[in-house]
Amino acid sequence: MRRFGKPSPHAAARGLLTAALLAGGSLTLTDAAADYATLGPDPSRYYGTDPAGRMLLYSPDPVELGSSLSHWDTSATPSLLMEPRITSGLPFLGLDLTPMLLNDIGWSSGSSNIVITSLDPAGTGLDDPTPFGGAPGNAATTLGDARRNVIDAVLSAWADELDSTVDIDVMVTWTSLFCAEGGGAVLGAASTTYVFYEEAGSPGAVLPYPETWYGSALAESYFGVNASGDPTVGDGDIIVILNADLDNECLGAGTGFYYGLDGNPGATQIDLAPVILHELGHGLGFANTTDEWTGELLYDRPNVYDVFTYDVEQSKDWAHMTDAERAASARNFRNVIWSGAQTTAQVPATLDLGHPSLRIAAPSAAAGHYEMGPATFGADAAAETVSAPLACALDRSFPNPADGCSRSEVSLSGTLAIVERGNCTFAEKAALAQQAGAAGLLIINSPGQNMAFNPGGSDPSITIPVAGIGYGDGQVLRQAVCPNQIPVASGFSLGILASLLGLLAWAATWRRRRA
Amino acid sequence: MRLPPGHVTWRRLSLLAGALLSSSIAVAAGPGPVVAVDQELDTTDIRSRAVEQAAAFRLPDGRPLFAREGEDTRERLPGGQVRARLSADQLNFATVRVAADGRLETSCAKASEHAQEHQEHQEASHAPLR
Repeated sequence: MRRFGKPSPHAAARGLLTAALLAGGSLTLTDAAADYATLGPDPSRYYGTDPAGRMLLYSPDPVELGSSLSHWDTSATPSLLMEPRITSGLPFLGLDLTPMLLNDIGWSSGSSNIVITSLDPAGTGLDDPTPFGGAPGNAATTLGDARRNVIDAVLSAWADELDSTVDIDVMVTWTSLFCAEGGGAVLGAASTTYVFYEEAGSPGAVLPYPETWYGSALAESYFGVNASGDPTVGDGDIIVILNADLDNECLGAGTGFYYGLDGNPGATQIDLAPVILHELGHGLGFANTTDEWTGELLYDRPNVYDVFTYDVEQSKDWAHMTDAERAASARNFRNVIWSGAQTTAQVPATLDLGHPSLRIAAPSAAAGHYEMGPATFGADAAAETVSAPLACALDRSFPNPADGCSRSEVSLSGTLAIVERGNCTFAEKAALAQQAGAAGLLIINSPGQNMAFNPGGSDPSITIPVAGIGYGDGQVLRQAVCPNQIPVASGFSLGILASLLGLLAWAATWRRRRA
Repeated sequence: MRLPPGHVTWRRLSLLAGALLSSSIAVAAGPGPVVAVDQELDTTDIRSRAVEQAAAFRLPDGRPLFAREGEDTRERLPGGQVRARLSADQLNFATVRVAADGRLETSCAKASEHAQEHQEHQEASHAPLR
């Protein structure tokens, strides 16, 4: 009788486990009506901007190699010239927001004279005599002239935007760069050749920000003189390198640069004009000189681009951060914006409304806007709006009862269900949530991965919207919606839980021994 | 006081179960984070090869076009300004990748001396469907 009169250690452990696993779920059910969230396009927010209407810079997590921040975020719609993907379908020679960003860093609007200097030997590059059959808008008869016509068209677009009394010297070379048939190739590259700064308090200083690097062409527009040197010996303002092997079908038969001036390349051709237009944007100042991996500045000084690169979570611009803060900011996905006023003012005339996001109205602890990535299956979370209370899915499976890989013990009916990533496919999670009556599904990224993501996969039977959110955002939601649910995303946490259970059982046994 | 044998067994089993659960879950958690990789931008190899080629680029007079990595190129000009020549790893490289469906995908980024480290991280964490 005594054995049944007292809870056994086994029963105590089982009770703790059940309570731990279901406590958050019970709260969710109790408070469900108040926990309201909306998933879908935000009719008050421009694509590619933060809730305040400022342009998002591309700050993926994990950080991309090199200068990701020297691009707009990929969510801008319509697509912009300075996104990391140089997409086809851009308005031909359209500069969209790029001149405004250059205005923010100090360029004046106006006109300038851009001079091309070829660094190639006679008979190559812009002097290549290979016969050219012509292309729409390009009546050249040699390959060299076809190349020059495209570059001229691109430079004309820039020359009509930027004011300088000093020639902008662009050095061009066509050379052999990496190309692997059927794999990929380097198309080209560009950069300012020199950067300049003036010391604080220097008499006669003209640059707006002292102790700050400026690209050569922009600095010269303030100096009023050519400070870089002779472009014929490599001392021009901007260097453009292009891969000559593309014209020899190095990627495969029928591939190569497209020299037409109508923005209409063939399927196996690469439109040269937008590539050069984009790269020259970098050369003119749409670029930092900071190592985004380590956060180190070039010779301990920020670039003027860093002055306007602003982390909304750190409430600091890149010019005033430590190296560690910059390195962290480089991967602070969709929390780094361009703070320049001229760019922000032009956003409404350039971008569409409807940036897809997750908006939480309640619980208040989680209220706000969250980035989300629509899944490749189910209803389009970027186009369709779903509003519903939030609920954390919870099952009895290991290793993670919150992963949505088994039927939830918590009712998900009519809710935006929250699950954690891992252990089964995204489509399997979605199918289970849909079977449970969920109105939509939010999948929290893996621990440490704070970037919203696009859950991949395919399942035509899924009709609810599914979206991926960052780990940090996910923890904020879980803490607000199901605070008593044990975080079980990591094996470490479960290991601790298991050890505690063992300890509890031992303690219960010890108590009995004392009794 | 001597305990009934069953209690001792239960305690040992509990502790053993806890230890086993800890270790088995640690294995189940896997070697590292799972990340959705942006395939369109995963052109690290292409860019790292390109930066080597650009760094080796010579002007007609034989001088290197770019500063060597780590080379201090700062110089003070007569007007009081300081200028520095950039190295090839500051170049923004446009690359093209042939996708699985044959489409050409064009993207842009700088190269970096951390290319190999980054590439290994990306490969270790790539799992697009779960």
